[in-house]
Amino acid sequence: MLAAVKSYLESRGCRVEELEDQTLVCYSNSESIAVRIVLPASSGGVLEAVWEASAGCRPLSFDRVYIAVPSNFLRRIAGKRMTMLRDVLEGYHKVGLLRVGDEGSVEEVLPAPLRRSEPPGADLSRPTGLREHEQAPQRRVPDTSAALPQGQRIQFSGERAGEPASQVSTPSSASSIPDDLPEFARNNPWLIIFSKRGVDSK
Amino acid sequence: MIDEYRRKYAYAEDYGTSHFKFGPVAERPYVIENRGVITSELESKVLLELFGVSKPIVVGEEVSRYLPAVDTMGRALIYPMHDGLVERDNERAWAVIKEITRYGFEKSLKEMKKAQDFDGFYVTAALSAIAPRHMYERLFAIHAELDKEGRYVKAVTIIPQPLAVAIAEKITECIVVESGHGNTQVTPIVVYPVRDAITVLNRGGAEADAIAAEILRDLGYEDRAREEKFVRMFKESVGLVPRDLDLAIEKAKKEPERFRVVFKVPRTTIEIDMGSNSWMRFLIGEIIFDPNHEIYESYYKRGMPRPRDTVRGDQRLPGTLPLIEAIMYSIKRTSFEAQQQIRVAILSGGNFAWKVPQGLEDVAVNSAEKVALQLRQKELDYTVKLVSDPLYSVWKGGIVYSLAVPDAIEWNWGRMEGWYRRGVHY
Repeated sequence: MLAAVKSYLESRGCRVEELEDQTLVCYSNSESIAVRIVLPASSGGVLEAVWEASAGCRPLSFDRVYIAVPSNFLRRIAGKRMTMLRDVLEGYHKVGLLRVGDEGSVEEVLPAPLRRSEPPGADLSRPTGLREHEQAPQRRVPDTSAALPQGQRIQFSGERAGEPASQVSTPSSASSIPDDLPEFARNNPWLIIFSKRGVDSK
Repeated sequence: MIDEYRRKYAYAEDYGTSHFKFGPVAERPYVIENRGVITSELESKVLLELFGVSKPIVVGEEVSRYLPAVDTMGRALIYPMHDGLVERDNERAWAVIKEITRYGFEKSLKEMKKAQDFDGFYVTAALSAIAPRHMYERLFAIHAELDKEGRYVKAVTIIPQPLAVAIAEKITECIVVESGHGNTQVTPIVVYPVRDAITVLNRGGAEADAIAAEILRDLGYEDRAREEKFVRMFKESVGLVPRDLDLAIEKAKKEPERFRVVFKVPRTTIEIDMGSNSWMRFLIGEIIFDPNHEIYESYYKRGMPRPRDTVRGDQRLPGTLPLIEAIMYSIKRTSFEAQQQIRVAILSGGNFAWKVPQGLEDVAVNSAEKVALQLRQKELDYTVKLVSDPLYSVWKGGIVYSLAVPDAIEWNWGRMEGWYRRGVHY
């Protein structure tokens, strides 16, 4: 697998290096690419293995990130499961998908989105130094309920004042999510996960 | 992905021990106290006649009207939940739960000016992670009964509160540590809650209250030590979490003026100057993290309750197990793949809301820093954060759940998820 993927990257005009965790990285003049090889332990847990590997790629700081999966395993993800996986990889993890054939051919199944300068979920990345632990100044959630077709909210009183609040990470939005949802529902990866519930258990 | 009906009528309920948060989609929920008055047991019927009340149970803002008529035993005033749980056969408690649930629907529909297309809410209720099956069964039954009365509930589901917290924080793999008054729960979440890895400790804010009361006794305020509300105010005002307890005590004893605090009760003349005993502030914050520290032994010997062991299935954990050990225990019960994915710990609950006064940052930390430091000592480099919205996070997570889970997912007692639906289950 490593040799096949390395050859694929070199054919794109990149200088390739091998890292730990079965990851290859390549650098060209215009961008950096990382590819993590995924070898599921069994054919029964392919979706979970691919999903977890993709989630693990979130903190990587490269322009494009792929995971590479052998074709005989990837064949087991089809139909609705592939649609769900596509949504998560593209919409939330920002990861592309390569299929590696038995004979060493490599094919791009899902293109890797160009990541922002800060990788998605960068606040979850492993630090190089001492981590700043979050205690942002308390902020009140703006009450926009007047803008929604709802009544007034009773303001709760009696709680301890000055409770610290911390930053909330906001991954990119998925499609088909109304823009007028409250802030805590916008850009929420759980909306995608729950909307596909039942697909992964079939 | 979210149809128009669901966008309007997704609804969530957070059954907290002290407060019930409820409502359809919005930035914030409605909130009432989780308590009710049983009017038939009121000592004085005069108030009933005065207000012309015919309801057997009163909940919401109206409860305070009837408090003067509650007898000294408090029989008529019911707080149905303790540490997030309701006893199976406590019919009075369940009657109050049903009434506050009904109150929630009626209040919400009134505020929404119930539209013609309304045919019931999609309700997600949140319960403690350790709520037993009978609570799920009873809550489903209550919602079915209320739907029969008023067609309020198109479908209902129940999720554990830690999952709701993770949803509100928009994090799909994490450890949620919830610490309330009576217990502390550690729940790994890897897209699903990992139920077999949930760890429960029988301690929470009550232990911090207990040590605060002992400190008041040591300072000569025996009378104040017996007043629950006073003890809590004292605890919240003076308590500190130490980076390291032994070093913090050493430093505080060497520099007593730097750590000295005078606790003043607003709108009274009551003042408690901790003076050279201000090092004791660190005992209050530390007990949540390590009640096993030898410094607490003398307090246990003089009668301060030692946290009870937890027994859950085949799991027996000492009540004084350090919090970090409970977190490690929970992590180790998850799969190898899950352990590789989890990189975030979320702390939830009033028991974690400790501040760091300016000038004491070298010695005192907030709860997130404390847990992060201890995890790093175990070679686990996690991001640790306090929940963004301690009051409403669980409700918010419930709303997202109501918005997103498809109709086709029916309730499954094995997976403990899915919709309990009108026309299918009731």
